[in-house]
Amino acid sequence: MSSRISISLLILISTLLILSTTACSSRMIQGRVVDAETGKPLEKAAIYIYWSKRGPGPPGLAGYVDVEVSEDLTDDKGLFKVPKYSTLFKNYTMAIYKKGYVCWSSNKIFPSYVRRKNFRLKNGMVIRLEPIKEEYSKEKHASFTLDSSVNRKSPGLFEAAIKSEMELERKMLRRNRRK
Amino acid sequence: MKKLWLFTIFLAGMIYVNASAYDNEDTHPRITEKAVESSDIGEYLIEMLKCPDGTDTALQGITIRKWLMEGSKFEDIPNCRASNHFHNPLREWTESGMRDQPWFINLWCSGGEYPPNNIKSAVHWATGFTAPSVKVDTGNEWDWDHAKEFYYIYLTGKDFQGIEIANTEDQKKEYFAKSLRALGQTLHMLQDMAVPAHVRDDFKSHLEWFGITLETLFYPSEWIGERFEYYVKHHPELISGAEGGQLTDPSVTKFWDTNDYTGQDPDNLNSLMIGFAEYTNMNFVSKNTIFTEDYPQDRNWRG
Repeated sequence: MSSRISISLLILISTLLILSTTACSSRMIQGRVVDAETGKPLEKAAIYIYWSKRGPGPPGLAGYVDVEVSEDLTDDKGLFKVPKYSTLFKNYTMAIYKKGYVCWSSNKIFPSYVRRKNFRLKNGMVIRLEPIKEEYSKEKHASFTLDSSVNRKSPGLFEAAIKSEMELERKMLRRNRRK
Repeated sequence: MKKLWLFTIFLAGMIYVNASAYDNEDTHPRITEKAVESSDIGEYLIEMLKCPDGTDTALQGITIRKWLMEGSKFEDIPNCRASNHFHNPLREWTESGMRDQPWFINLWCSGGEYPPNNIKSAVHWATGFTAPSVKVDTGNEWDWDHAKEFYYIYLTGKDFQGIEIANTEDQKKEYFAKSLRALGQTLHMLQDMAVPAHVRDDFKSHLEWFGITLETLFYPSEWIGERFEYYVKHHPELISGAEGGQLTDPSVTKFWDTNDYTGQDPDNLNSLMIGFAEYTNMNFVSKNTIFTEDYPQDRNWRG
């Protein structure tokens, strides 16, 4: 009996290993971006998603490899599409930006930088963008926006949308350098 | 059956488990981007090279900024290249590379381009120098010298021997892109000098067991790692606050190691005028090197 269980487990692990190295198919899923206060759809919000996976290698050496970078703009109904892979073997980072709103990241929440929990990348997801508030540091928000999208296409849709944030970050970094 | 189990677990570990230096898909390009944006390279591109959009200028479909960022990602590919990303500034530069790697790293890398018997220190791998004035070729095709030569080819069409390499504008631009990539790869090796484990003979700290939580149950890559690198990856906001140093003689190897620090009391040195590896070695410890090296100032602590 225990031998049967062991063999079954071995087959399961082997299957997972094979899937992890071979599974590369994705499907497109749809989401919607709305204003967190009014609930109205937001048009022309820029969407960025970066998929990566572990490269082969022993503990201590293996790094990540790119799988896909995809970008989109929401339509007049606030709808967008992004690719979705199995999250068992691949990691993703998603960011959404629209001028006048706080940049939304799948990893962290601005301005606290607290790790975002309870978000699932799935068809029909609704992302609520919070209008930017006076008390938020514009420079920190610029850094947050760039940090949330480090693997964005360049040139690309997302980068074109965050141009003013990039300018602000550049000014801040130069000021720091000259301190 | 037991052997089969052990083999399967080993195989699973080889395929899944963790990380070299900073995270190559995240932290390295992030640091490079901050470095590019805080530098004057944009003005240089506009004024001297007539690239109208500065670092936003597209070159073979991607921007100059992105070429540099991608370079800093490529330096960890294939992963055994990372064996050359260590430098203990208290040793001779021919002896200062990674030396405490376990057997399975040697096994993994032994058949490839970066075998364990040919490991270089980061400063040697990046610049070719084995001492401040001694140069020995490493075979690294993406080091500082290649960055310069690719740039020279872009400007003149000829390599350093005067041989015509690029005739058309497109060919020259290809070399400009290669130059940027090589510079990005070189920056990667400088960035690694901010990791205490990389400057204190402590590869093994990359194998620290973090444990398995409910949150990381399905992410084996999160079970093992180097705690400092993990922290930086998860706190990207730290990088934006970085400030520059004040090297009076910015010859290339001095960014890594000025050879001024020999283990003396840090208070006797201007920490902004020493190499990055020296600064990190002097001021920080890694998991397995707390009071393990025989520094004079440690002797005072030990009494």
